[in-house]
Amino acid sequence: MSKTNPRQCSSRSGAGRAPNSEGQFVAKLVTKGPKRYLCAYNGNMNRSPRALGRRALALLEEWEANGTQLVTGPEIRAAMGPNATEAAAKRMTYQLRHKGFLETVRRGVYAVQPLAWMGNKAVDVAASIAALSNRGVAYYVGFDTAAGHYGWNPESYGSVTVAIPSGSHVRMPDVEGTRVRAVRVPQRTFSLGVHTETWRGQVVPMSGRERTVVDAVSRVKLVGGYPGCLRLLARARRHPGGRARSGPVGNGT
Amino acid sequence: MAQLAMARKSTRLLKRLGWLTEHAGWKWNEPDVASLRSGWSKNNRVTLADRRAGSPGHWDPRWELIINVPDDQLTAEVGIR
Repeated sequence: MSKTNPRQCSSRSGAGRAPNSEGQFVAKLVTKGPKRYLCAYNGNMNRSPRALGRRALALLEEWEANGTQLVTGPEIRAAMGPNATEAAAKRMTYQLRHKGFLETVRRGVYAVQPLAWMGNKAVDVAASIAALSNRGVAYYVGFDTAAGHYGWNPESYGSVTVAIPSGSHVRMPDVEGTRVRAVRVPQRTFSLGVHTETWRGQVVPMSGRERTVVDAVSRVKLVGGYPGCLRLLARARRHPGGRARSGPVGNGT
Repeated sequence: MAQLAMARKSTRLLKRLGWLTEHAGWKWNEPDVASLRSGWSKNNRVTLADRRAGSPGHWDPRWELIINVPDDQLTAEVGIR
């Protein structure tokens, strides 16, 4: 696999530098010794960290227009057109990742960063969680995080609670500044009352309102102990979200 | 919600759900209360908190539950909208 080595692509050597008709420096493969290195952007990615070629910009604009938030390697290749080779797709992925327009959330899965961020690195915890679906992991966003989504609990941005079936072992995404807490729930009733919700811009499986209440009562410590649980229940009574069809009925007082 | 809770097949969960929701001001429909109570064991002396909580607690006859959580913890946190 190609690899950038700034030492071997220094501007002094001039190797790998070849301005195209638009005056941009394009990537060239430089052979030195037994290995081949991909030399790009004057041998130093940091010198022009956000500059984008027309093709890369077109890809990002297309994803933004379509609302695409997660892309995989094959999808990038498909978006580049029918004639794009796998190597070209890898180079494009590498370039976009290093410029901060794609964020790796799982192996081979990337979160598209908004163009407006100008390539600044920003880890999106929701995208990282949503990427679990792409990996075929059974999970749902629940407990205090789901309650926060429904407005029954204070939104906690430093912590996310994800339920996984008992007996399963899932490596939770490592997101700087956010603790992703995995809670095991019984396999037998795992999917009951769980549906997809749009959470922080991502479509993820999330416990429904009724399931959130039942989960909160079953694991009181996860929602702030008894005072936190009672607050959640009191808020759920006042703002059931119009979806509490059976069972307790708020008295409106 | 009653069906979701009953699917867990946990008497303790059903009793806690009933008591905590009513304590938070909810009102259950009687058919749902009946269905919640249908599977309870007569000998099940469930406590609200862990038995090691220390407090002997008091008996709640409606939900057949020992409330062994201090009263100061059984008030909702501030900030109810």
